[in-house]
Amino acid sequence: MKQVTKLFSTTIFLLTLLATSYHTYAQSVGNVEHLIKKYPDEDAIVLLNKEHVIINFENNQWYIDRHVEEKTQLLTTKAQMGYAQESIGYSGFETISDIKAQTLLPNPKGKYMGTPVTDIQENDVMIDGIFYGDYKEKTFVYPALQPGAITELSYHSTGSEPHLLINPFFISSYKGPTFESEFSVEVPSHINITYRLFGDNTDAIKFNKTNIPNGFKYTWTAKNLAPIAIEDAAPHRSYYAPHILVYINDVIVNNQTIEVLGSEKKLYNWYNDMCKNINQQESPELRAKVTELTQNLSNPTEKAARIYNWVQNNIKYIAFEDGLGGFVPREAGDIYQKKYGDCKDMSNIITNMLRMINIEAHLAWIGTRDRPYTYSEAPCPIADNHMICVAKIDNQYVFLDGTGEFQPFGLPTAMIQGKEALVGIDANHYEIIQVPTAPKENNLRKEQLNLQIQDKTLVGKGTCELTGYRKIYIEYDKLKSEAKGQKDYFNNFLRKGNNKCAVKIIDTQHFNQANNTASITYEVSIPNYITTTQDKIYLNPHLIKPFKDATIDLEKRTIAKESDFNYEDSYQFVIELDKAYSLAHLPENKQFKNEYFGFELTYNYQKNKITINFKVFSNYLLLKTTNFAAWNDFVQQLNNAYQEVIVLKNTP
Amino acid sequence: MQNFIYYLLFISLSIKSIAHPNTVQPAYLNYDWANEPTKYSFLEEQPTTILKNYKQIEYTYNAKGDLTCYETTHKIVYIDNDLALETFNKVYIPVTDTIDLVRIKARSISQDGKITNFNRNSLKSINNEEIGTYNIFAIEGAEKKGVIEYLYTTRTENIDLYGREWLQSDYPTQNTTIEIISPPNLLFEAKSYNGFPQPTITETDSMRILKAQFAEMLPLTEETYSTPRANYMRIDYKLSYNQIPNTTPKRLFDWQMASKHFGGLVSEKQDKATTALIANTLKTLKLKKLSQEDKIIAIEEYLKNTITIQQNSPSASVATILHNQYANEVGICRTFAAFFQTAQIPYQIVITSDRTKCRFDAHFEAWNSFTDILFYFPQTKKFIVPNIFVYRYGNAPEHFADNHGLFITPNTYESTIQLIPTANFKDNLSTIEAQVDFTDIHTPKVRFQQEWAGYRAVTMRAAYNFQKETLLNALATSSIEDTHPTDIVVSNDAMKNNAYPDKHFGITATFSIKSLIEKAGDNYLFKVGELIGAQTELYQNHERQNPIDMDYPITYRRSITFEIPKGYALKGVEDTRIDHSVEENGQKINRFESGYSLKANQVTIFANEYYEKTHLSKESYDNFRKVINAAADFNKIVLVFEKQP
Repeated sequence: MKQVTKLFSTTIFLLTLLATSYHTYAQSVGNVEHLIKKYPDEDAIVLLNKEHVIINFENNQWYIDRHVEEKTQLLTTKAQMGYAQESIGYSGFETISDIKAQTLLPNPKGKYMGTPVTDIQENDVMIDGIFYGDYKEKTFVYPALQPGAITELSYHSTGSEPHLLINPFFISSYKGPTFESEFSVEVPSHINITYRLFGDNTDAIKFNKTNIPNGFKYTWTAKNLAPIAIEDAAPHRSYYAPHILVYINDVIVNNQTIEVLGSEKKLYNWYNDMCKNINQQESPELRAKVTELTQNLSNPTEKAARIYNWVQNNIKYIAFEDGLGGFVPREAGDIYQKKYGDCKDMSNIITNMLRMINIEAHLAWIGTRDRPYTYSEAPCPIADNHMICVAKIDNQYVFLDGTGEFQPFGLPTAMIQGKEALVGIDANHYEIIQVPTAPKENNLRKEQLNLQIQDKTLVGKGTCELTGYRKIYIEYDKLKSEAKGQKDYFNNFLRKGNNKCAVKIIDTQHFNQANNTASITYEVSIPNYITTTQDKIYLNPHLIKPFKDATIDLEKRTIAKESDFNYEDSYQFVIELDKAYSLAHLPENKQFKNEYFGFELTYNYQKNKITINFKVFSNYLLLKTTNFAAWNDFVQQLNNAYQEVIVLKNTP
Repeated sequence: MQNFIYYLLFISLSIKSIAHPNTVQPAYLNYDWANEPTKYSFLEEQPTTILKNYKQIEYTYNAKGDLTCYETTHKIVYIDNDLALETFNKVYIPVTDTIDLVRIKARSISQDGKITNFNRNSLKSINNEEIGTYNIFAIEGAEKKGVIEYLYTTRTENIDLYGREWLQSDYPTQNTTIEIISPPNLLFEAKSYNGFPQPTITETDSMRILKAQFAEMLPLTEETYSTPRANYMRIDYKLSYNQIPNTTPKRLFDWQMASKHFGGLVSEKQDKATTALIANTLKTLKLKKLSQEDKIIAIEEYLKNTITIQQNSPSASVATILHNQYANEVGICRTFAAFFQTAQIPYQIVITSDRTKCRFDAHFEAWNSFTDILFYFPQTKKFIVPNIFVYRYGNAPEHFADNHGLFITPNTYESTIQLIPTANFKDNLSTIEAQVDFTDIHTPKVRFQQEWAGYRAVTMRAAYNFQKETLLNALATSSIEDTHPTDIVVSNDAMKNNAYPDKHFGITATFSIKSLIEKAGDNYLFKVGELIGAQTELYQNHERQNPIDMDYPITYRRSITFEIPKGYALKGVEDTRIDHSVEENGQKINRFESGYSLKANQVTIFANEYYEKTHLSKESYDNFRKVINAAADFNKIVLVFEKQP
């Protein structure tokens, strides 16, 4: 393609398209026309979304049986393509059986007849970031699909792990509107469970508890539900999509209570129990390493920083998730020898190494910002998905995430800001501590650029300073771009004005974990940037235009906007004028500010120098929809400011 | 079509040992790594380097006289940085039900000489339908500035008697060796590409060895307008003769054998019931009065709208495919063949490769290049590709065009090697006509008419049919998201129209584009160049490595008209005059040309561009770059409306 299109999603889509094939306008069947009319923007209707869970405990053994039923009517050819292949994902803790799948099509009399799926395959699921895991899926293709066809699926999942097998039930679907949704749980009276509702619009869910022989049946039903929205910069669906969370508290057998979940303490006990046997023996090699690393240091913070940086630099992230092994860190000595590990392993080796020099350190469970729950709301494994080391140095907690390759010591990774860490103190004690959120002042991009006009080209020399998450994210982006074989990341990052801009890197400093601030010195040349006429020069001072295209579609967007971290960018452009020119027009200063976002733009002319100061900040992790109108106002005012240019005239 | 090649497994040849069972030890047993790792001395600024890349493919008879294949891989890699460490510290060994891993050794050697050996117990296996079946493991103890080394051998009796080894990558590679070993009676041939040396032959009483070596290989990386994968050094090999005493050896794995195999695979005769079923379906398509060409188009339209491609679905009969309405790649080709056969439409089967990954060699029967199937209609000289929905009857898709293919006549299996032609640059078209209205000078209204033909229409129709809104928003300039287009008129959007080159796909819409205007005191700047959209800028930050390969030849035509707002004078329009071209034998083969005309207050600006030849040597890069960048220059043009006193 010659044109640089913005059709990113289209391009990606086309790639998949070129490798497959699908229908565009095959004849639709059945009484589907009215649905297509009623839902012109939808591709499918979920007729039924149902799951029935039976929980039991007999002979010291848990039984968890889930029966899942789904029925979807396809309205468009896009749905035919997208939903022809179905997969049932499952972990090593469960067995999938009784898969019944078929396509329903109406016969000439209008009666729906089934064409069954016959060929079901089993496949190992490759999950991003996990080298080897025990996740599998059953896959198959629905036959004879066309608009109007109904796909029908049911299956059983059985297992015996009481902490992990009851998944949150999302009542609605990405596929399209849901007509009928039902979740039910059957338990004998000696088993106690807790349920909670999460997400928006949970009022739509009706609840009913009935007696059944020897126990209870809990049922949640909902009808006519909107699809789960998909948006850019959206938080995880569990923040907004309505869902039901059920967990087992305990079971009473022979007057004895066997605890499962339901409180922070019980969750901790389970985690701690799994991990209690590790690190019984110290690794002499690891101790030697710790001694070597810290021998010339006296300050515990320096020692801890040295150890953390060593782990960042020497233990590579490779994750194995195999059964309950997915919950238990490997031995510290083993990790030291292998030089790789996942988040648990890294947390464990850091904890061990710190303890070797008598620094208080603990393993801590934590949910990344993908999980909306607090431990008190959801005292079950769904609340977390990550592990870190929490150290206590000079009576201060330090959050050490070994997976943060570029984190300076003491700065938690951006993905756990504001989240609760469940810190394991000892066999009987834990603490819940909230990870701090970094203020915008800690995450800066600060550029200073001195410019001169040379004919139609703007040339100059500048520095760019980066701090906190701003710096870390740039380092990740650079790594990603290098992984694609691109070696000039900083040149692209600093390019401004237009895509003819050439950047020459003079120096880079402090791009390592030891520093919170890094800087780049560079030279820049922007050809074809200046517009000249016989007697005038027009210069757009907005060399970079953040948030230019960030308008939110207020009619469409229903979910909050997520940002990785708070930040503030400031740019100072100083344009030195040749004696041949004088200033004819300088735009007015502009600003817009509220608690969450804003900008400030000032122009100054003194001694043949024009100074433009431009500050823009973003100060939210989750921007609520109620702020969207103000956001659009902000973007509009920014764009108005971007339209204003500087005019110079020839000195007579 | 990755799975396609596996159909070859069913080829049976009498290659069993006619001599007594073999007593010769397999050669791989004589190959091992040095117990003491080699001591390398590295430069201060040593980049990540593959220090050794050894590959041995050994065909040998086992004790029962069955042919067995051992493949040995030995790699030593110096790791300079985190990225390389993360790339090389995980190893994937392809295995299947019929391929065993007979030996595996791995170790890491740290900068200070510490050796960590790999424990075979850490080996895991995965079976994923997309990437395949592998034994996987992580290298233990690997560090930056250290060395990773691994050696493994697989064994199979379920044998491919041909193969391909990719030898180059985006890392520098030293000491590349490839050996193809066979019993003396099995004569393998091999051919090297892209500068890798041709193999030499050594024959002993017990084996025949094809061997090639290369000491210092440079890395080859992706560049804009390049197909690095097709430019990587590689070697292709195949069995050519099985020498049986007292017989005339017959050439094996030659074009004729390929013709028979693929001809049979695709155009096998259908049973009576299936033929009747197809005949009935054809009746409903009402083909009788149609021209030959329209018949083909109607069959293609029917099958592509009815049958979805499910790449990993099992092979099925044509009758089953018609019932289930899904098929794998070979299945859909057989279905097309059965329909053409029944409708008595003469066709040829074309076997070829994706030229962006590997060019088809017309002079060597590299079976790994037989990856894709097209249909060719000799009467109209047009093509169909059955498994890609968006491409329709006409030129072959661009990644198959301008590449050779094996053209096979069904039934007789006669075949020829021919060049699959690409479309003329005039047939692939992208046009813009924009009329800008400055009634409200702060918010210009643009009536934007765009049309596409040929390959470009294929892409745009697909985008329109499946991501309408994204496409509409992205159509005009880079700053259009804020506005909602009005008065949208769409023409010839159906996929079927891809088969009719005269039916251009077009979208006309009116946009309000505030960002086209900038305020400069009393004056206004009109960013006219932005109306052609952002354009690729080619930078010159290193010496060009790859020859230039564009997707396809193409023509762009744009015209922008507007009236100068009353009370203002137009300045800067002379800047629109640009003309750059690449010449070959006095012909301008690629060119960008723009300019303007002025009639009273009415201004018309044009910017035309064409790329007639899309494969150019790397020596042409400077001139080529000027043409490409001329469009990017045009994109920066700003006109001034100066307030008149």
